[in-house]
Amino acid sequence: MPLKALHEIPEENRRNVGVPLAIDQIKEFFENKNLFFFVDYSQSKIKGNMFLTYLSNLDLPFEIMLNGTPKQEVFDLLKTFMETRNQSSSDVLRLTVADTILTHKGIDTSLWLQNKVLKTDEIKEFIGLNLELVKKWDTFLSSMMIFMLKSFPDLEKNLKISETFPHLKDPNYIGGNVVQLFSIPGFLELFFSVPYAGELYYFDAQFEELMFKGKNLFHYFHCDENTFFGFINSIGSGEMTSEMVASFMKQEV
Amino acid sequence: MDAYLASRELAEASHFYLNINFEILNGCKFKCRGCHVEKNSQQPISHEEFLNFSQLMQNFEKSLYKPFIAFVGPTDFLSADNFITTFESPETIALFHHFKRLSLQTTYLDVSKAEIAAKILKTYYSDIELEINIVVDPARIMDSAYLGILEKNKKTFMDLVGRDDVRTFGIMNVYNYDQTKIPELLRDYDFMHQRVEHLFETTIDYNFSMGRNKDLSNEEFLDLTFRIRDLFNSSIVSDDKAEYLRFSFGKLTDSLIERQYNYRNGKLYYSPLLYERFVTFKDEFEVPMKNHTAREIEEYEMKIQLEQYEAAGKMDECESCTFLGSCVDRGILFLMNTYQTKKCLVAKKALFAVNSMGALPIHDYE
Repeated sequence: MPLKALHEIPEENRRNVGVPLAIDQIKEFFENKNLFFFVDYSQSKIKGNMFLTYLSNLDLPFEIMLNGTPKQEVFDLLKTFMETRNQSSSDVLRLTVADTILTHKGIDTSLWLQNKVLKTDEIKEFIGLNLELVKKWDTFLSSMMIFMLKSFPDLEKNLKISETFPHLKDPNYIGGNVVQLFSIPGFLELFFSVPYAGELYYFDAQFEELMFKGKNLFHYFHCDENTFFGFINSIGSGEMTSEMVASFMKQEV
Repeated sequence: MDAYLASRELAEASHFYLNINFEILNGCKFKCRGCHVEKNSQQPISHEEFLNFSQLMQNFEKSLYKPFIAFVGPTDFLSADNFITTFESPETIALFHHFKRLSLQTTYLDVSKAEIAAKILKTYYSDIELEINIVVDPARIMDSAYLGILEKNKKTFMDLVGRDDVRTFGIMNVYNYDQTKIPELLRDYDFMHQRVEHLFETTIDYNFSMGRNKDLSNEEFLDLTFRIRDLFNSSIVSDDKAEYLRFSFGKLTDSLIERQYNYRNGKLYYSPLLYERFVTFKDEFEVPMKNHTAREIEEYEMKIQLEQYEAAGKMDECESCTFLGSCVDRGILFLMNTYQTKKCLVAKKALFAVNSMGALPIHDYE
């Protein structure tokens, strides 16, 4: 899902709300589908996973506002976002998680992401408090290389990639929101710019089943914003020749 | 089928849908297992109640609600001794014409009043949609003579009604099927469905009539609820099957816009949606109405919604459950509180399948 262009939402269609929504707010949406809800977490009566579940079930156009929310509550919400099997379409949360994952890899994200919810020191504090969780995301995202390669039938047929790596069968290994990172422009390029030193896995459930809101992993991975996969796909399909790649690498901006 | 149902996502909706179950018929001559209706305790709608209810309906309609289905049950309308007076009453006719559809139910065991009933429906209700649902006793699904009578009488009545747009759903009361002669068969949804599918157009709806029983214990409630939960969980084993099964608990995001209530003896009661509308007349389910406005009911709904979110943390699995929002919208946590359980009431595995979340058939993700 592309990032929302919040600045393009006209003032008259913006609504600042807490959740649960009042019935009058839902009724207003019945009559005006152009409304966009800025959900103030600090003003919401339900928190944590229930908050995300509520928004996910409503399926309205929204973004979460975390201004005025204490740091610990932001940490808790972020952790929930990373753990839950539900998917949330909050850009604020997925960008903050992307920032967390890249920061954990030692990448300076200050030029990549503006208007951060958490300062770099706070991100590092979050990582310190949730190291195992962040490492799992790192492992899963790094293992996407296996998923990508096995997605090419010829490669899979000849190299049997899915049989080469150890299998992890835990369907709850990673939260459902991991797929939200693929459509953040530049994220995967930055992520794979730093080598991964750990073990890669073939994730049976996540790679093969309709684990993500009734869709498979490929549905989310193959998106316009994921130019990294587009590039690999062009090479894998032969659309881009080795000469073209070499020429591309020599280009200067 | 989709256009026939109210369920849809909020993003597609332009109003709430309002379903009301009217318990106004008396004198059923049958004693169906699992049915707990008090046969002669329904009072007719008085003139004052009619005026109040009409005001409420008009207020609902002005407040972005569409009256969708008026259910009249659980009494067999072909057997009820006040069907004619009730359904010929100008006030009843006016009341039901607020709704898009009228839904009646019958056992089809006695069609001696079929002619007059059909005539009334043709005369006064031909301009609204009609559902005639069949109550089938699960204990008798191996009784071919019984099923034959239902089939024959259904045809007789439908011929008399003379409409080709009448839909039929199959209803089975929930009770302790272990007390039947075929308990094993009654754990097999597929088998049950195959035995009776020729009688109606969808699969089986399970009706929790036991909520009407004032003496229902928490243990009995849980036993019966878990029976159906387990039946759905063990039967819906593939996405394909989830598609064809009528599983009213259904999709994750379609529950918010449907509002269900039960009406009896001048009072309106909250109606959780546990697969089907849950009917009970316990005091805590009564919706307070002084001025007969939609606003009063909305305030009650908001209160119930918040109470359920607050209760979620105390339940065994609700707080982190994907289906929490849907369950809150359907009043499941309210039911859990009422019957004092922290255990999940719903067929979660089946829900995963219906919502194609990858949980079935390969793994048990609970």
